[in-house]
Amino acid sequence: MTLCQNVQFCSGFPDDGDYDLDVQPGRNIAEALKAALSQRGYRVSEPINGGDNGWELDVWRGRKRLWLQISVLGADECYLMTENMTFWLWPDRDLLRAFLRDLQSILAEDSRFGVAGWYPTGASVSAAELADAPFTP
Amino acid sequence: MKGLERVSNVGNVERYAARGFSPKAAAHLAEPYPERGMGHHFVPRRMGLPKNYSDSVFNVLKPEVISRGDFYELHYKVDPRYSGGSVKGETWNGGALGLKKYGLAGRVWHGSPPPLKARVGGLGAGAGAGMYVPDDERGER
Repeated sequence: MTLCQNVQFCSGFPDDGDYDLDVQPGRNIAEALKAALSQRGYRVSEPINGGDNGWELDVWRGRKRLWLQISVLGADECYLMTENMTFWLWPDRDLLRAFLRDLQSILAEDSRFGVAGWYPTGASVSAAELADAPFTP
Repeated sequence: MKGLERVSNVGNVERYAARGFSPKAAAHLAEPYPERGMGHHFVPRRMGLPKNYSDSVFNVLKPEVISRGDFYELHYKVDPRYSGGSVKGETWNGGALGLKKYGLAGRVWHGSPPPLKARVGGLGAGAGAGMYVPDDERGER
């Protein structure tokens, strides 16, 4: 089963980049995701400035950590990438799947997100066939 | 050397304008990559290395004389998590520009900062890569 850990989406959020200070847009998106994930019981860091990459969030369920990055290339081309930060020898795949399911529902419920599709890590987005969901149930 | 940098950057404005960027965005891309820029972290910050090492010259790739546009191109090639960004509200997408990402060996060689290479050579770079193996090299997690 291919797990699609990343999603391409359109954004209805205003451009909050500060180009004179080399701050990429997407903090407002990270704030919205933080609020939504917190409502679902995750502990979430404040948005982290990831420099040219965009904005990041550390997300915990108990002591287990997940990570996501938001990159805004334009309102019609944004990327949300996730990574399972649980111990790499025994990664908690169930946790990652639950997290992706939660992200999927968050993105679907908020009209400011327009999901183009999900794709696996390492795939070229242009070449990948975007999937409707992060994985098949 | 300052003069040379400026001549180089003036040339770059035309280069970026030719790629379809507005004069404002092209000028931004042609500016030197700023000192405050975060650069590329060879071992990503999310891996939780001590900050004084993570943000040191041994882990951050940030060439001294390089335009923003040229750094974005380098960053795109060496960082699996960097697709591009917004330049003065205009889209910079490495894939759309026809750039190709390096494989693991290329990422280790081209993505490791020169001080790391100089200090510990290939052994240290290999150790750094061993500490972080991205998902696309590891399969599903």
